[in-house]
Amino acid sequence: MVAPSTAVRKPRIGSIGLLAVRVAAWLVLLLLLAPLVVLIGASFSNVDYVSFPPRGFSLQWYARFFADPVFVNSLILSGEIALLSSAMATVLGYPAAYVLIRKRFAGRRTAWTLLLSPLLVPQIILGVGLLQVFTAIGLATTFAGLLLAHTVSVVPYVVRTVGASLLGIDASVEEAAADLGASRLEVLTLVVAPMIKGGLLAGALFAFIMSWVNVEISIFLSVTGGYTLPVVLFNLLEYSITTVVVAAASIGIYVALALVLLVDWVVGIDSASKL
Amino acid sequence: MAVTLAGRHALGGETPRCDDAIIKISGVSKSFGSIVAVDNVSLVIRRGEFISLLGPSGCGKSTLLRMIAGFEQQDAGTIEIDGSDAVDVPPNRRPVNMVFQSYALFPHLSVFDNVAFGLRRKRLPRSQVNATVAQFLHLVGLESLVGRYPAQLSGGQQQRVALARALVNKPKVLLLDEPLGALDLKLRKRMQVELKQLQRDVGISFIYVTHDQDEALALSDRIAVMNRGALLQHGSCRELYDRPLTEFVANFLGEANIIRGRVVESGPMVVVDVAGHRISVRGDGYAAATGDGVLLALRPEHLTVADAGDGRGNQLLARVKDKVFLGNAFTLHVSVAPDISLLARGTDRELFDRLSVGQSVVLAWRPEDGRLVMP
Amino acid sequence: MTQTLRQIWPLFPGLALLTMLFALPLGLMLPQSILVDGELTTAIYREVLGTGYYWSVIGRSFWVSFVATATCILLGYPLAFYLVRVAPRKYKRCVFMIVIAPLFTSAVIRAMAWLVILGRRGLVNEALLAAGLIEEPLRLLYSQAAVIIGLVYIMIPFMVLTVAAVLENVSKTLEEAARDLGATPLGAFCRVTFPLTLPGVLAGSFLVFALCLSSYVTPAVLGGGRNKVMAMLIFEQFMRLFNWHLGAGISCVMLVITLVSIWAYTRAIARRAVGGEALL
Repeated sequence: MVAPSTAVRKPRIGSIGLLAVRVAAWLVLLLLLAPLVVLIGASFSNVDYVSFPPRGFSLQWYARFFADPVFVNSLILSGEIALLSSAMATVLGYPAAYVLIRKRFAGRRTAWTLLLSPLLVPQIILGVGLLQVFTAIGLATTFAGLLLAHTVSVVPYVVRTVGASLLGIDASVEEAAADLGASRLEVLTLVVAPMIKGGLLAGALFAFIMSWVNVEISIFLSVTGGYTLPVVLFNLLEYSITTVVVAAASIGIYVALALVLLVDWVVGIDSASKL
Repeated sequence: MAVTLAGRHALGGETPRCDDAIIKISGVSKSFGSIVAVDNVSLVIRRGEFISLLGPSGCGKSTLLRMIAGFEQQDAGTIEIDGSDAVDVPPNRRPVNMVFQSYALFPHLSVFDNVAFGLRRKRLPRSQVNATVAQFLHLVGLESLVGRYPAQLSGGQQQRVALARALVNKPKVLLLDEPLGALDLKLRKRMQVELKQLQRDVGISFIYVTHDQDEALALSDRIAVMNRGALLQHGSCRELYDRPLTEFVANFLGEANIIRGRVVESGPMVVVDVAGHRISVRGDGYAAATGDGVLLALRPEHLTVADAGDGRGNQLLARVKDKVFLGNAFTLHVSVAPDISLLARGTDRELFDRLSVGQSVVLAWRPEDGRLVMP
Repeated sequence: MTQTLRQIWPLFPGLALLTMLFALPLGLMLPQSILVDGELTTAIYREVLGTGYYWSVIGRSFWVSFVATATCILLGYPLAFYLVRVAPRKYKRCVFMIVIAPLFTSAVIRAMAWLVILGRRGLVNEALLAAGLIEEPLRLLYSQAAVIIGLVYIMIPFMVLTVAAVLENVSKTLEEAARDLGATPLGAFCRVTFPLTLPGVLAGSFLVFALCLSSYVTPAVLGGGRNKVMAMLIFEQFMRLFNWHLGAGISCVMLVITLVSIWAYTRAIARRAVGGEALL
């Protein structure tokens, strides 16, 4: 008598169906990659006008990028804003998420929705609205204004990932810490933060990334004489597209790839996608 | 049913002297929305005693414990810890410490850092911290594991770290919330012995929450039984077992037969009619008037089973419904009347073999072994 | 009451920031659209919803969003299915990375890529010329189609991730049970798996639709002046024409539609509760 196989066979749609799914999936994946590849390829072109396939091979446009103060300043500005706004979003968002997850009080749902809402609202309207508010209070072309606007825009990422992490840990550990004499600040910093390290980092990372790539808010809030990199690119595209602009865009792609690897290293890309 | 308890003191023996008390719980109530979790509980915890809060899930024992620790605020009543009202004192400033059901060890800290946590919050000098931690790790037998992390420890070891971590702060009272629940039976029994010894060594009061009556009996000096938020009875183990006040307590600690009857004569010895038989039971302060319906509690081990009665003590005629062999003992299910079934327990093998299902037997017990209980 | 305040005050700085710099700016839109020169009026809305020009822009926004959403479903579902059910474990991470990487680039960059692909000297034209299929480069850019393509590119990851999340919760055992009861693999998929993922498809659709409708950068870069969408209209009214009231009116219309769509998204995704709380 032959013992029945205990392994469960993966349910198959049928070999043809499976093949179709595979083909379709990889086509779409190709579709997702192709534009990025095209941009990078075109950035190495020898000539000023943009074409694909590129004509020749040259790094001159990258050199031009780094030699141009407008580009370099915008790169620095984008970086500074992203770094500072994600830091601020974490400092503001972590305690807020903690209170929202752990405590029960009237208006909790409303507060939760409010904190996550910037994700759900058309960015263009938010940008316009912020311009109006900032103009009224004199922050319209300042670094501080741009920073605050970005912080508001990315706080939801921190609140969401921290919130998810907090649900996954044992709340009695926090009670134990309090029982042993820890003040609330000590509980948050000495006990909870280390336990949700991954979530905090992921939140901060997402905040950084979303600030870094933001266009619709930054368009309205230039700092006197300076724009963030995406806005510089957007403005340049209004006239025509040249290879140096493509090179600038390619730098954005390299940064994006590095960030993807970083996120994967910190939290694992598949769990990140659930957030 | 007009029944009253004869005197509040019947609830738990003598009133303790005031300076004997380390925690005074007076009239404490707590509700969550429409659910009453703790209902007007008053209890005194004495210095140096091991007391268990015993009851089924949802009876309010954990809520009461958490209120002592400061994690919940009572809706009514006061909790005094060592003479002072704890009402506005947050958990991190109360002189009590808690061992949690899930141990709640800090996963990112080593055993040493876990145990040192409370001492460091007090900003004690490092040398003192190190010395005290070492002392308590030795007390629980974990000196060799100082550098390990909680994830690397077994359940029993985590348990001890949690104990050391709480005790190292020299709390006035240690609160334990079903700390042995996650351990397997053998380990539980061993830990029970160690816990009791630990309490004796350290000398402070332990308040122990459990739903396991065997555990409560094995560990405690006193037991407080709770059900549905109310404190039903408290006293020594013997007291609760031999003199339960309510049907619930009789059933919860050990097994009990609960028999309905009607009072025929009242007095120091009350005579109750049970299915036509005259049963004597001690009054013991239970106010019973002739004609009242009462409940009689009887432990299975107090019942003797024989083919015929000898006329002494209380006797009931019954029919054997089932007999169950348990190895070192046996259980007998008998029926006195269609609505009265009893459980008897014995160790006489010969008797067991002789009895057959359907046979008529005589149940007997001494009058002082039965008790009148409240529903 | 003070006890509660003491407990929740760490929430306040973040809440204050969002109230002042989010609720307030948005909240201003409504009054601006109905209060002109100190008088309550519906003139703005009558203009926005009555004039042919604005209607055509709104209509185009809807149409473009609708087509893009439908295309996203067609392209995104197979990829989501592949990701969750078919891909071997060691490929999954890689696939996730490819899906997520575009999201880490700015919308400008992604739109620019399509400029290069669809441009006169771009990939498509060069390929067609080289193959001898055309003699002159085609004018593919600055058209509605280009905008749709650009939007689809941006939105596919959102659709894939939403559907994948729901698909993961559909137990494989259900499919096996169906096959055990006599269904073919395709039948099991059609009758069991797919219907169970429908909430995910719906959720993804509402999300993508809302994002498409409010999109600015992609239509601005790829559409050219003659293919305006609502977001571009808003920009124009505020920044070029200084017509704040009208801009606010159009903004309110867009807000209402996108909020309804997002609300529908959250309802459709509601099963995906984390620890009893539905996280947006």
